[in-house]
Amino acid sequence: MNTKFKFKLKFTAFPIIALVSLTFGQNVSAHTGPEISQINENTRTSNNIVIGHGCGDNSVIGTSVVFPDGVDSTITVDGQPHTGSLLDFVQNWTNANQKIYDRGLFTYQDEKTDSNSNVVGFWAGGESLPHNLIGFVPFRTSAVIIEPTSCAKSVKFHISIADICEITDVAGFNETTVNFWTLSTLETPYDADTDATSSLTINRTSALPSSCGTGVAVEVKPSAAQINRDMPIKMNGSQVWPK
Amino acid sequence: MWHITIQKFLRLGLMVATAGYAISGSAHGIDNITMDAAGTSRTFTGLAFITCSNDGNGEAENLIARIRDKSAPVDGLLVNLQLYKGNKAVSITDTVSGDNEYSPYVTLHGGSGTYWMIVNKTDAGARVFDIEWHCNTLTGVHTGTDIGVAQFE
Repeated sequence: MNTKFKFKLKFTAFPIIALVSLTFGQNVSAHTGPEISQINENTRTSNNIVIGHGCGDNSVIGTSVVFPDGVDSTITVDGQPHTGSLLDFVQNWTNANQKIYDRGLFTYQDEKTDSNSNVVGFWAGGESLPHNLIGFVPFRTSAVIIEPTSCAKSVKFHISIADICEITDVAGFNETTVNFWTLSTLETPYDADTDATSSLTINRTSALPSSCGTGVAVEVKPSAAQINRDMPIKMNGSQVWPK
Repeated sequence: MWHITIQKFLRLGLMVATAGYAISGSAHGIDNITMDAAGTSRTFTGLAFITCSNDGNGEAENLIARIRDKSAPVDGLLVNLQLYKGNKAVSITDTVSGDNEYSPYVTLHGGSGTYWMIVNKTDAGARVFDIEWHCNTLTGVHTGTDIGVAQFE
């Protein structure tokens, strides 16, 4: 997950129990991501970010979630770069996701917004999720509409998430303090070692234009600039995480 | 540690107003938004999209909206609101500024889907305004209404 951890693993004598936990306690199915990863267009959907596990034996005390804003995001069409706008494929992704207030897991929570108050992510924290249990952080996606004149049969949005087990500065990021479910190639402090984003896919229900054939699959990934701006947790303008 | 840090920031945060200056995404109305705060722009324009969908109350048939200019009257300075979708559009102006009365609602019968809403004004000068918007079914039942802001400058 984290490059620094790899070095630490090489040169530090970990307790056996921690090593066993890291080896067998983390697997693909435990990745943090949305409970419902595929939704139909034009359908408002209540959902949860499911936190799969802690940082080794350390409990998760907060989570930071960022959706690609579609402004400077990387867009691909059937794997090929698209230089146009997200509006070529989706009419209304901006501000599509809202945090649902819930204190069942974390006491404190708020949305992350852009300069126009559109929600681009959210965070929650303040309690401790036992490392062996899963946790739900609820949110809602409004009715997203795929541009009917486009050939998009689906639009997949990569979600970047940091599960925080200890509040540290960037230098303190390691396998015991934070789990990154993010891209690996953005060259931000929040990169995972390998691509580990979860995703939310909007599936088209309207008819494709006849010229489209079977349609194309669109993917949207956040920019490094957005991750650097939106991944930190701020309260009333003051940054809480990282320190 | 998190708990302590959050509490610290919450205490500090109580002294800070949390209201945004632009359009809030979750409500169907906003209050006390300032357009052209510097008072120097003749071209200031707010642009938002509103998604009308079936939230269980029925398919949307129309979008209604209204605007209220809360600033003191200035000759030649009025606020406008326009709605458009596809090849249909409608607009309304609050012709009396500062009287605490909304303009009448305007209705655009565009069915379900994405509508655009524009707010602008007739001249340079700061304007504090409110707007309301709601998606309704054919029988006037409120249904799924969501908004995103594309521009406010």
